[in-house]
Amino acid sequence: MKLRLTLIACAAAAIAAPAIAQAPQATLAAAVGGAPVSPKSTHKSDKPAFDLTGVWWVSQPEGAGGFKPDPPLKPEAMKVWQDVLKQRAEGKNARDKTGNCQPPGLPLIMTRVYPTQIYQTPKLITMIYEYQNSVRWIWMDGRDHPQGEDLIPTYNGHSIGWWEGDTLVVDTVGMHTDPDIQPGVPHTDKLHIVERIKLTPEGFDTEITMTDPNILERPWVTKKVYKKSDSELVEYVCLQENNNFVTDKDGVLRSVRPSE
Amino acid sequence: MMRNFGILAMAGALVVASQPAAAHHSAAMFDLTKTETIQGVVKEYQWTNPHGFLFVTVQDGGKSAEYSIELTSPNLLMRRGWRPSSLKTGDKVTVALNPFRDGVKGGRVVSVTTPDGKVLTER
Repeated sequence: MKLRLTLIACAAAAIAAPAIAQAPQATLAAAVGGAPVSPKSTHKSDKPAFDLTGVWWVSQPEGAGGFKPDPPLKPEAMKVWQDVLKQRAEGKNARDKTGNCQPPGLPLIMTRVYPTQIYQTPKLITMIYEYQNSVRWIWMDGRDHPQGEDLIPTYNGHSIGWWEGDTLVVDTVGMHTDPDIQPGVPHTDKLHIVERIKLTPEGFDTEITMTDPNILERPWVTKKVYKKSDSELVEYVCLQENNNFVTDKDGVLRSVRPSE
Repeated sequence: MMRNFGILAMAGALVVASQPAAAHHSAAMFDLTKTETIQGVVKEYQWTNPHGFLFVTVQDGGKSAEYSIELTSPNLLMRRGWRPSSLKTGDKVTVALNPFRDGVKGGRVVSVTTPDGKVLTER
């Protein structure tokens, strides 16, 4: 019921973006404020409701490379983003971090048009993203996030998970501030992401709620849809041959290694 | 980039097409609302990450021009049926593309029709 409400909210948001974000907050009260959730104290994991082992493709009817609806940004972050959007509208590669081969990190790793291989065991769910050979380890053994300086900033952060009925809940903190959360949108070390994953006839849906009190006015609720695939993963290293464009003396565009 | 542009302008030698593109591949470089079709001969076909590339020489009224066409990565091209042997130098091809916005010849591939009539797409 809660998820259904949220889905309706998301669908409505696609039509009327400014109205989003308030409705789903109730489902994710624990996420508000960006404070890490401790599964030890607040969540007793139910039995696994499904097995995600397999290969999945993210389906992006709303367009690849980012999230919808737009993030509810505070003025300073909004200024950065609007400037990026303006430059891109002029055809410039503004603040295009993934375009420059930086690993997208969480959450943008979920927006790439490459497959994801998931291995699920009772105490650990491993997600391998073909894009940039990126890996997430979601600890299901009841542990908490590392605290204080034991939490090392990483592009995909530190993830713990537990089961709530038919839902897999994944809680992530510790995301490095290098990658953006939407192309052109920065974040701080207060970024906190909660994913609520539910099985569907074709695959699984994940409702993603992001909080960062320094950047976001309120929790940013978005969604991705994954479909089952028979693909096999292949290595993908972005920074391999030619990630820099130059125009030669004849006006012909060439792609070269950055060092050339 | 802007600095170079300014120096060029001051020198009175403003040549729009010679402005270097900064870095790789935000879709902002391409006008995705337009599709152009060119016919020409394959000069080079690069099977490289993060993007494959196709260079095609087009004859236009006695002059020849080289077009740069960005493809996606080999991983994704493979899944769409492309192979390193799909195109070779000298092949006559028809290419549909979303053009670069800045006037450079070429763009992002929509489809390539090979000499035997096979249509390769990536989306």
